[in-house]
Parts: sequence; structure tokens; C-alpha cells
Amino acid sequence: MISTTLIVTFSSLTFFTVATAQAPSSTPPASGAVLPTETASFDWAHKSESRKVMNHYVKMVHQVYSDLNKSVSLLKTDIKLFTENPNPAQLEIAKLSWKKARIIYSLSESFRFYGGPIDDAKNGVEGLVNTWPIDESYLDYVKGTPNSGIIQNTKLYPEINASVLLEMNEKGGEKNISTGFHAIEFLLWGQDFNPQFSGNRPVSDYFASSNPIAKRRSQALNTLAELLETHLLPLEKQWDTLNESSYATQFLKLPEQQGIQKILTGMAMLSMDEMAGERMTVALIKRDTENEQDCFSDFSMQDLTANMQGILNIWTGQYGTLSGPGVSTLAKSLDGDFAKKTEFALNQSLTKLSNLKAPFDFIIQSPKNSPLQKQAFEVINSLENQAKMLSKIARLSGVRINVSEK
Amino acid sequence: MFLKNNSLNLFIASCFSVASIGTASDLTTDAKLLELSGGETTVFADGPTAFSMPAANTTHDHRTEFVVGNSLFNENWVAAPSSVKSRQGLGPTFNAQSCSACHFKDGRGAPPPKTTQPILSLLFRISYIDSAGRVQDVPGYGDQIQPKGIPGVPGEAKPLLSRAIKEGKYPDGQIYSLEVPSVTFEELAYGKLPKNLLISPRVAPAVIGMGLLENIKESDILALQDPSDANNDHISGRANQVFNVETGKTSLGRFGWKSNQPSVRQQNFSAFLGDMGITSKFKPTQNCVSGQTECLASFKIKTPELSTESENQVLTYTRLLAVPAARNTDKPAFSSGLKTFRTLECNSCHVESFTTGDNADFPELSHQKIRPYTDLLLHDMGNELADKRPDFLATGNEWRTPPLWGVGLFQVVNHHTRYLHDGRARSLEEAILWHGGEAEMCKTRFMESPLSARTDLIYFLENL
Repeated sequence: MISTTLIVTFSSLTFFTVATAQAPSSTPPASGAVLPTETASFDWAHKSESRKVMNHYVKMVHQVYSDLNKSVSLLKTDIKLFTENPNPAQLEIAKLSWKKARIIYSLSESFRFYGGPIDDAKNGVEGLVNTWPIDESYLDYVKGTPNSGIIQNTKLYPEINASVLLEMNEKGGEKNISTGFHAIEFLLWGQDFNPQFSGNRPVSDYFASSNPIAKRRSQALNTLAELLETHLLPLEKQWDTLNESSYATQFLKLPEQQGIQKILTGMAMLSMDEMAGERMTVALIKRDTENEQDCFSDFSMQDLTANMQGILNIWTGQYGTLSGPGVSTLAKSLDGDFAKKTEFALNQSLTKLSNLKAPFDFIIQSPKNSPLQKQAFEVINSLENQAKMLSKIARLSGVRINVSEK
Repeated sequence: MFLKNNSLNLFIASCFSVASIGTASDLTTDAKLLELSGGETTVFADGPTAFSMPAANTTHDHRTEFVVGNSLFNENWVAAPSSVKSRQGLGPTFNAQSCSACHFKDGRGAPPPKTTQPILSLLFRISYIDSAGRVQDVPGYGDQIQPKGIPGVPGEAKPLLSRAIKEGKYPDGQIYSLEVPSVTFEELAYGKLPKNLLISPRVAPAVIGMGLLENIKESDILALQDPSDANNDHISGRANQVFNVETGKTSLGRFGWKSNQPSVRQQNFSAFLGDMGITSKFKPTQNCVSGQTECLASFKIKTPELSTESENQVLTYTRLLAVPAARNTDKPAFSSGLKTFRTLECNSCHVESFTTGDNADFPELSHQKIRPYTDLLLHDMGNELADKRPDFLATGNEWRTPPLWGVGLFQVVNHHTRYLHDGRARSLEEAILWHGGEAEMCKTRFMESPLSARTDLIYFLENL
């Protein structure tokens, strides 16, 4: 019964937030690396369309990051309230704030993969805010090893503070994570051993009177929320066109093809490498719930749906009250039929994701060839298919992206 | 007879050498071609994940194996028995818990910035010379120091770095300084080390483009050999011939700092066992050396800890990790740096390009025009760089020419600019200044070059 309630809550949350959010973009070629421009009939009209798409894109990215910052600020406040007075109701409030912030972050992930502010070579923060999967025993106790993790290790880390958590992040391995969304998620939910439910960390983990480690855990949780806010804040400024020295200002000065190339790279890489690959294929093939992205909160499906909505937002140009030329405008001018097919494919992916109504760890552990598993692999196919189509649109625009059409 | 033979050799070698330049390398100046380090596999990336992408032309099925392989590469292994069946079997002794601990973001390791900090991604191969002059594994320790152990099993030893500074001067008066490292071992858990110990420090190299290097035709590599320097260019170049665990025969060595591994597969399963203590099909026995009582007595899983399926996924992953494109190839400084690279004859060993052979299993890696800047051969690099530790045919003075693709991105991916086998060079410039032996003349030419040429050469390297 409880699980049903939870799922309903998740779904309504997803619907609410996703319906008001959207965004674009990506990462690999950072610091202005330029993909080879191939000869194509990318004429004056296409350039003009592209210019409009770029202008609107920048507005949308800025709005998404602005919304993200508001939600992260609330998360920080709710975590503070919870740790000052640990009780089940406050914990639920903090968890809900995490989910709201997480949805908007997921909407923003198509702004990754092209070396924009989120993941540029010098100041990119992606590795500090979103790394996963995490080895949770690196941070705190897990089943079987009650004394593991930085939080429990008073000898090596007499104080828990921002510099310790930052220095330890990704030290000695890519799963050694001590900052970001998923570290916070673990400290709020705890490990999840039940495919029907999310993790259920006892509130007593934060009772400073009875538990000497609790104070350190509170310290860690608050510090992580503060760090998350600090790391995400500059993104909004970097996408502000009123700021002469911002990335947005530079972005708008790019030749049209390079701008479009970045936008499409983000959409396609998120579809192919992240969503279809890292987030779904790995966990399903390995049948391993440790490879579920939001493995503590059981929020992975909502994340994926918001990722997909974010891609679609860039395509349509719609986000909340914002409305303007999306990538579809350019695609239509390049090849009307193909643009229609792509739009259909993108909507299909969103529908298929929305129809996959079960916690991801439940799907992972469902029997091979069960309807749920088949549905999940159909989503993967759909995401791969859309990535290839976006790659073709890049080619039609005279540029190449790091996702193959084949 | 001797003379006659020699001149015949000279004749043949010259022909070979001319022919090999014709087929293997291509001295293009086209900015677009110079960009494509990995041919059609090239990805365009220069951020923190620049080394972590699949080849641009990866097929659908390989992409699936690739992403799963990636997750295995990052997995933190734990001691058995554990509730996490899929990744139990760490140790009993080991260097690291995961591949990515040393090859962070598929990039390159380094010695710690301060000698007091723990050593993470630099390991030490060891051996000693017995009374009969033979190179042997070290009693109590084997051929590599594993500093860590699972609970109840002592790690073998703790390496301690120290550094001295050596100053030098360019002919134009500019001063430079080099860091000379040395290592000792403390906390010896398994008895004294022999007096005539040979130590080979080796940093974890970047893992990009391995499948492409594996697909360079053997004949193209062998054609570049000139063991007796018959063409009098001071560069010899020898292939290592090493033991192939899968076939039980001798094969051309291609990977590792001394070209001591013949294939990506063997490189992988050797590292799984040697560095993490993970057994697999071809390395089924834990590496507990005779005398390591706790190691020998510790809990053992009977079946290979790394399943063959997982091994294949990691193999596909490591074969298809893409090489990022060179950057700024249309800039005058790049062209000028490349010109200097050629004039100084850096490309005698750092051979610019090859066309890969046919690989039915990996069409992505077949017939690719690649620019790795290596000949995969062994070269005498002088006494100062020597580890004095032979490795198959490689002498204590010889090292494999490392590929230079991606060399400019270590700072972005791995947050350091440490180069050479033990990471002693703190910059690309220092790495060049350390060149000796066969490369002494190239280094001298570099030092005699005007500052502007030296600067452009570094710019060129930073953009590979």
C-alpha cells in the first residue's frame, strides 16, 4: 500500500514540475573545440533560423538554472530545519525538496556534453554535483560495515567541513563520491534493499543526544546542501545575456553552425550515452540495482522522464511560460518530413518513459523478458533512435556531433 | 664477411626505412587531417570527460558492451566473502580497489604532488639478479609491490618517494630544473628485500586508443625496427617479444611502459590480478607469493572473480575508448610546432601515423588512418631514465615510445601535468629535457632551438 502511495506521489510531482520546465545542450568539445564543418547547403535562411533558435535557447537555459537555484535554496533550508529538529515529518519535507530540485536538474542535463558552464574544462561543476553511481560506504555506514565512511572516521577526518568533503570527492576512484545530489540523497534516504520501497534511513541517525556520529552526519548533510547551492549558482549568471562576460554572451557570438552543433550535441549525448547507456542499459544488463541512478530514493524513472522532457523542451522551444523557436524550427526548414519523424520519435520516447510505471530497481529485478523488462528495452531503443535522428539533423546542418547516425 | 654483411644490412635497412615511412607515416600539413587523431573513431572533446567516450563510429552492440564495461572499470571491488557477489574478490594484496582509481576518468596517473602524500596511481615492479646473473622475482614479494591488503592480510610494503632537484641551462642561458625521484620501501611485511633489488616505477597510462594500437599491422611495426642503427640516425628501435598467456607462445609486445604486454586482453587481465587481486580465466590463481602466510590462508572464491562475460565487456570498453581530436590544428603556432617536431626528428620514434589493419570483430577499428605519434618500439633512453630492470627483451635502459595523442589533455582530465614512466617530468618541456640515449641528439637539437621554436613545439604537443 505504501509503495502505491509513493508511486502516485512521484508521478504527480513529475507531472507538475516537468510540465513547467524545459531546457537544452551538452559537453564533450569544451573550450571552444570545433567539430569539423562539412560542406552542406546551409544557406542564409537556415542561418537566420539557427540564430533565432540560439537566442531562444539561451533564454530557456537561463530560466531553467534560475528555477534550479530557487529549488536548491529551498532544499538547503529544509535540510537545515530537519537537522535542527530531526523528526519524520521534517525528513519527508527535506526529501520532497530534494525531489523538486532533482527534477529541475534533470531538465537541465541536456545542457551538458559540449563544454558549457556546467562541464567546461576549467570551471565545470558537473563532477561535484551529479557524480554517480556512488560507493555509499565511502561516505557513511552501510549494511555489514557499521563503521565505514568519512562521516564515521573521526581519526582521519576530525572535522567534517566543506574542504574535507571537496578534497575527498572522487579521490582514489570514480565511485568515491562525497559531494552532490547523490551524496545528499544517501544521507536523506539511506540504503535501499527493497524493490518496492525507497531507502528508509532512521531519523535517529540525526539524534545528536544519543549518537555521537549524528552531529557529524548533520554537519555533512548541511555542508553538502550549501556546496550544491554554491556550485550551481554561477550557472545562472553564466547564462545571463545581460552579463557581458558571461558564457551566454559568447555563445550568441558563435557562428550559427557551431551554436546548433552544441545544442544538438547535448540532446543527442544525453539520449544515447547517458539515458540509454549509463542510466538504463548498464543496470538492466548487469541486473544490478547498484547501477540505478537514484538508487536510494527510487526516483530514477522521474529523473529519466524529466531528462526526456528537457530534450523535448529544446526541440519545441517551450518551457513554463517561455515559448519561442526550438530546434524543430530549424529542422523543419532543413527537411520537413524528417523533422516530423523526429518529433514523433521524441514524443514516443516521452510516452514510453511515462508509461513505465514502476520503481527502476523493481524493473531491474523483474524476470528477463517480462513485460516490464521489454518495455524498458523499448525505451532504450527509442532513445537510441532519437539520438541517431538528432545526429542526422546535425549532418543536415553541416556539422558532426559525437553521436553516430548509424 | 663481417663488413660485407654489415653493408648488406645497411642497404636493406635503408630501403626498409624509406619504404616504412612511405606506408606507415604521412607528413601531412592539412589542419583537418591533423585533427583526426583516431581516424573515424575520433571524438571532438576537450573537457574532463574527453577520454571517456566510445569511438565515434561504435556499433550498437559494442556500445552496449562499452557502457557495461565502463561501469565495471569504475567498480570498487571488495574483499570476499561479501553480500555484493558481482564485485567481490579484492586482494588478498592489491594496489587499488578499482581500475579508475589509477586510470581516473580513463586518463593518466601521477605521483603525489608532495612526497608525504599517499601514492595512488604509481606502482613498482621489482626483481633482483641472482648469483648466476639471472633476473628473478623477489622472494616474499613477487614482481610487484602491492602496498595494501584485505583485513587480516598485511600489505607488502609502503613505498616512500624522495626528490632531488637538478638544475641545467639552455645554450641561450635560460635556466631549467628537473626533479630526480627515488624510492625506498618501508614497513616490509614479508622479510628483507635483496640488496641488488631492481625497481621499476610505472605510472598508470591513459587508456585511450588501445584498440587502434592493437590493430596496427605487426609488419608495419617490425618494419620500423633498426636494432643496429644501420641507417646511422642514432635511433635503433627494437620490438619486444613477450609471453602471450592466451597462446602460450611469444608475441610482439605493444602495451605497457616496456611493451611487455601483447594484447589489450592480456594487459587487462594482468592488471586485474596484479593491481587489484582479481582472478580471471587466464589468471586463475591469486598472487600470494610463497611465504605470505595470511595471503595463502585467506578466503578464496573457487571460480574466477571476474567472469568471462565481464572480462569481455571491459575488453570492449578498453578497446573502444576514443581518442579525442587534436585542437587548434589550423593555428600558426600548431603548424610551426609540428614543423619543429619534424625538423628535430621527434617523429623518428614518435611516428606520426599508421593505417590500421583489418579486424572482423571490430569494424570500427579497421582501416583507420590514425595519428598516435608512437612506433610502439623500445628505445634506449639513457642512463638517467633507466630503471635497470629488464623486461623480456627490453633492457634496463629501454622504454617503449609512448603515444602522444591526448598528451595535452591530462591537465583537464587528471589535474596534473606529470609525464614519463614515473611521472617525474612536471611539464612537457621537462619530459623532453629528460630524453637521453638514442634521443640525446633530438634533445640537444631542442635545446639549441630558439625559444620561439621551443614554445611552438610545446603548443603543438598541448593540442594533441
